[in-house]
Amino acid sequence: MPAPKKPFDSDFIRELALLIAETDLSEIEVAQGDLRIRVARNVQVMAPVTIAAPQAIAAAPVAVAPPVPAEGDWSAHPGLVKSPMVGTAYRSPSPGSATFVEIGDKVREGQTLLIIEAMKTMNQIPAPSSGVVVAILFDDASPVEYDEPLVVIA
Amino acid sequence: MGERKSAGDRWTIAGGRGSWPVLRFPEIGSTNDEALARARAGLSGERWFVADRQTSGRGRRGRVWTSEIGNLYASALLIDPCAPEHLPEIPFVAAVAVHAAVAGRSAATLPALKWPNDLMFAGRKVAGLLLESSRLDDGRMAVAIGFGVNCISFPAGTETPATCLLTEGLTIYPEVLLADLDATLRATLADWDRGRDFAAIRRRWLAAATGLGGPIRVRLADGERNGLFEAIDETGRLVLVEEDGRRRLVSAGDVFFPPVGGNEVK
Repeated sequence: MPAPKKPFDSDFIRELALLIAETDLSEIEVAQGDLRIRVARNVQVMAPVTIAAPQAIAAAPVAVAPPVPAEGDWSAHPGLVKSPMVGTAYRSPSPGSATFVEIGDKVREGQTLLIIEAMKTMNQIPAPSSGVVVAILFDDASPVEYDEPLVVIA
Repeated sequence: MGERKSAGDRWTIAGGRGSWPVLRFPEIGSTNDEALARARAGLSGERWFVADRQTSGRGRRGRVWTSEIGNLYASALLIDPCAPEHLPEIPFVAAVAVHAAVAGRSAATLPALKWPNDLMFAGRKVAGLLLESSRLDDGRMAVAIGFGVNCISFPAGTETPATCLLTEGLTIYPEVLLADLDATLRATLADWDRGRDFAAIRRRWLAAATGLGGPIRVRLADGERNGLFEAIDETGRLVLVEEDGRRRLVSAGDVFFPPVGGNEVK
């Protein structure tokens, strides 16, 4: 069923622009029904962009963006870290101890972002690249599915 | 293979032919941490990391693992042991190996396995495992299997009652146990065949399991469930039959057994 043609919502785009500035992202693309908006800005890339082969663990193709609320859609973000397994995700090494990362933290490649427990194996999930944590998309000690979005690094 | 020196550490050989090299420390934070750190630093191939004493030994979810001198604290480091989908089978491989090592020297009472990989004597925990994995920068997967075996002492007041080999009538020195464990782990890994024959490991695990068919309580990250411990499925998950007959598959949680006569055996 084609979505009814609507005029562009300029407030929405303004919000996206604010979000871009806040999170230091270079672009955001959102899709809602047939509507797809991409907001980008020019960013001086300081560090050379690593064109590393993507980790095989997150190699599943990104599905056609579902009509989810714009503010929750990180599925197309290149810095999205997805769950390589089914298990329980933890934000800290033990209950009550400091979290591995918080939003806004700078992380270096390989640094542990979280742990996923599967069959009593504590699997350290590393940052695929250096950057800043811009989103944490899971609750501590919550079950996660394969490919579930966990953390976004920009 | 002679003894080598490496950054003040002592290399020794655990036992028979084909044994993995051992890196031994008088005292260390955690043998698992050391194993993964060495893997990140480029170490390849299987190794044992053994400490006489750990200053920050730990169990599941950061629980303290009391690490006094006289017990065995050993981590086996595996590099790329299997395809990622078979990683969850390694805790069972390790459990079967430690069970075989201790059972091989047991007399009257045989130890049993509590899901997924605690070694028990009559409801008391004598050994625990903690597995940690980390993907290395070059894409390889490092897995540290930490074994903690109470040889001559055990902590009091633990949620799950503990025991030690000595209390169970077995005098096995840590060095001797490590040599046995080295042999049983290598043999069990060979049987498992990088996941091609997990069915064989599962059969051996089930044959050594405690509490099968009986009532259990499982503490999950988001609450507790009661039911019957029916089996483990073909991937090792605990099959819990809840009171309404529904089957729930558990991949992470603490298992407790209900009271047998007196206090609850956890």
